[in-house]
Amino acid sequence: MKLTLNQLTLRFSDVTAVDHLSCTVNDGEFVSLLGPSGCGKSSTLFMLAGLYQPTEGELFFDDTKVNTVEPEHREIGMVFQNYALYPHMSVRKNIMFPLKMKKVSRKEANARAVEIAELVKIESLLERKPAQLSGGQQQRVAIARALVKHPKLLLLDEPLSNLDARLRINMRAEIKRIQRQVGITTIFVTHDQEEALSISDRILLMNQGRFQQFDHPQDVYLHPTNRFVAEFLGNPPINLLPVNFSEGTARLVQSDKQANSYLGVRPEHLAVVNDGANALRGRSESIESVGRDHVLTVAIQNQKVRILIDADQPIKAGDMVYVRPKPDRAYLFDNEGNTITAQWNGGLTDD
Amino acid sequence: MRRGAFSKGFIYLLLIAGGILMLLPFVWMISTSLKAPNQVMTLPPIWLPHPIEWSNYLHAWHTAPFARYLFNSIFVAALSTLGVLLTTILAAYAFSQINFYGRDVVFSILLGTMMVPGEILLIPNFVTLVKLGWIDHYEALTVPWMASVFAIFLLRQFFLSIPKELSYAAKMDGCSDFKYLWLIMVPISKPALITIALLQVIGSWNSFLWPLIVTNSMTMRTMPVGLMAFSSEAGTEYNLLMVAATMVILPMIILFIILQKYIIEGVTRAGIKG
Amino acid sequence: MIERRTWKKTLRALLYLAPALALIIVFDVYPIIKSFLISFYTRYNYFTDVVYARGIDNYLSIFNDPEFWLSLRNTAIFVLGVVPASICLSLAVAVLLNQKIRFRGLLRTIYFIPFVTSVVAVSVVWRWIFHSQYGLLNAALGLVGISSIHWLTDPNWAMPALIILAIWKGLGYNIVIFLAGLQNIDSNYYRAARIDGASPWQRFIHITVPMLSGTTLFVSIIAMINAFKVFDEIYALFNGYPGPVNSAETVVYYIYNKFYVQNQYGIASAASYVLFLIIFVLTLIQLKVGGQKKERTRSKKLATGGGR
Repeated sequence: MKLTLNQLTLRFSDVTAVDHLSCTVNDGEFVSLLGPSGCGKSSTLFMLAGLYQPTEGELFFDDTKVNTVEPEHREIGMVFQNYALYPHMSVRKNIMFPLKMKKVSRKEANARAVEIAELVKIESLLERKPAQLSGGQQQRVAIARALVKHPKLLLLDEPLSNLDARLRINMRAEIKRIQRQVGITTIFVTHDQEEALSISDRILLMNQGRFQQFDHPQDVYLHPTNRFVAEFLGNPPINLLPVNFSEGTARLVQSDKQANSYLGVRPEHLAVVNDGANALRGRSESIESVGRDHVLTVAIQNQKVRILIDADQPIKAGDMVYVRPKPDRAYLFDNEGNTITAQWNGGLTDD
Repeated sequence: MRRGAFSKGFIYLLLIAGGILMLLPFVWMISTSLKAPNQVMTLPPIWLPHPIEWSNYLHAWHTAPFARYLFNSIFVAALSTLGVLLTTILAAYAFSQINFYGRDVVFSILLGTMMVPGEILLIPNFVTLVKLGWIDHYEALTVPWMASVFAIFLLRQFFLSIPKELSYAAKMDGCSDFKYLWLIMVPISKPALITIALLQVIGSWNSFLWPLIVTNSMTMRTMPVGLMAFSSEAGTEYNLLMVAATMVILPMIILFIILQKYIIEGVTRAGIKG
Repeated sequence: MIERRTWKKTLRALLYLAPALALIIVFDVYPIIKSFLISFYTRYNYFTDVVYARGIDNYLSIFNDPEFWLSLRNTAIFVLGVVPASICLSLAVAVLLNQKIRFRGLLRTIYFIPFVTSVVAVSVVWRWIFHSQYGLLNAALGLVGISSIHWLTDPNWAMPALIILAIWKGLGYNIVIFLAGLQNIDSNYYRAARIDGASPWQRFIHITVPMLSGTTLFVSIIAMINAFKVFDEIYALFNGYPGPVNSAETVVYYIYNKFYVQNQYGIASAASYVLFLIIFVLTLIQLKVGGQKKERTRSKKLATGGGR
């Protein structure tokens, strides 16, 4: 099912939770809603679910406007952060519940429950109560319950945030597998960028209720449309240097006041080089190893930048080094945070 | 270590002595209820009746219409408990799940009524029942007790502890609000509902002043009222009087021992409505 | 939460509330107001609900009625006899039960049993225990050489008998509440005090008592309210009479008598409102004093650097 949001807005008495959001999600696509907490991603999801009514704008499922359609008539399945399983019912009863509400015959409901339980691999747990299950198992039950009525849209509200780190990665793959197998259009809300980058076909980034960027994971990472997106994604975070940009050249300045724009370069897109052409000169301060990565911190005038380097690079703390961004992987943002699209020839200087 | 053992022994001694004092009246009651008349008034007191006069129970049962009293007590307790559960579930749902105009004001007023001693209500309620023509009818014994602010308060607290997502999930699953209440919230709230039911049953079974005032005829008496009537008649036949007292007391003790967890829970939660 | 109030929701809520609200309004809210009004009806036909005259005569007449003053005095003696003793005893039992001992649950159950039983029925049992000639109590007292007491027929002993019964009956409830309060005290306080070398008694005085002051306040208010409303015990203990020469006549018995026996509704209502007022004022005083005490212990704790 295709999903269209047109200038969708949600206001509570004095807060605008979602501000004129527009986008189109294709049939069968897996889309993550990503942003910091309070950015409006959950509110957007709740509007898709029908639990909140949009204040303004239109919401289409295929070509039908569904603004005022009640949740139970939208043909959607939803999985909640705390799973919201019915604690007094067995797993089987939980999964059959949506079908019971639809007055599907007991026999058929049971057959469909077993079928979906096999899909999510919980067929051996059907007689247990939710309290007897691990977090990951509860998660699978919640997915099964959401999918059993063959919905046209699957909504997932931070489904992995209650799981421990290792399980989270497993379940990530499982959700992806199940979604592929069923081929259902899926909206996945998360505040975890790594999760969004690994699982989605496309990512919709939001901040303070507003649309930021809607693109494939690689594109939001490599081609951020604004400073917020560039800063929000990436770990360690992107380096931002205050610069004065004119005539194709960016000149490093001392303070934010003197800057007319910012140069953003991710740590993996900076290289330590031997010559000073289009490079910045600084003093190596420290090298720390974070797992397999080695992060070099370099002080350039009064700014600090972080660089991912190879373990065998012979740099010691105290060395003077030149640092140069990789071509096409450095971004210029104006003072409002928008990407400067004017041609930049890579010219960079620190004096 | 030896001092610890000594003081622990002392604690046990005190507690067990106290426990015996608490139980003694019941033991004495049952013992007397099984005595032949010539063993009742003796000095020193006889603890173990010999022979055991089970026939006292039959005798008392036939001297006064205890069968009728028992039926009335059970019927009234059952009916008022069902009523309380129904009104409480509906009201607690509204107070916990619906955001409506005046909700907090109405709830505060209800809590306020809990502070007023029941004796104030006695006279106007009596007049109301007279006008309704309910005096000496089951309605008078049950209907006024079919709503309890305390129960609403208790269940509302429980309902508020159920995560909101559950109602969203139910909505997604195509479950109406009314069905959600009965299929999800009520089963989940079983412990709180048992507590409410038990407190209601005990309160109804033990209540005295109210049934005394709103009933006149023998056929409408509940167990405690019947016991007092029997007490006037039986006078000093203490073995028979203790039979009657045992019949009033024992059912509640048994009920309490089986389900004490729920009763103690409810009592500690907010105190019994006095 | 963030869900808005609407008139539609209000209507829906009213539907859910209707059964409970209807009953509570008819049998709780309306009577509170009506009772107040009745207390000013001096001539009133309750059956037709016609009021012939209003005034404050009811209040004047109870304040001029020596029987009312006697009932007030008896009630006060009863409250003073029951509440402090019951609180001390139940606190002691609760503290002992709160130790690491076996059969704790069983003992708690035993102490609580009287609370779930019918007041009338246990009063009948106690009437037998108080029997002057063959009663258990006098037999026990006889063992230690005390000659028989006419518990229920001597005006001097009727009230003590009533008090013993009331303490026995209500002890379990207070114990359970105190136990819940004790379990809320962080055991680290006791560990810390032990390390500081405090004796068990010092720990009780300096940790348990101040930390439990909220619970004690609650228990004492509930105990006081219940004591003020004593009726069933008297009715059953003295078989329908308020004790020898009215020596156990309390305010609620007075109300019952005026209302049900003498059909003087106005006077009974006036007396019930006076009772309500007394309870209300005493509760306020207790809350105020209790609140101050809490304030004091808190500032003391702050001064010594303790407290949470």
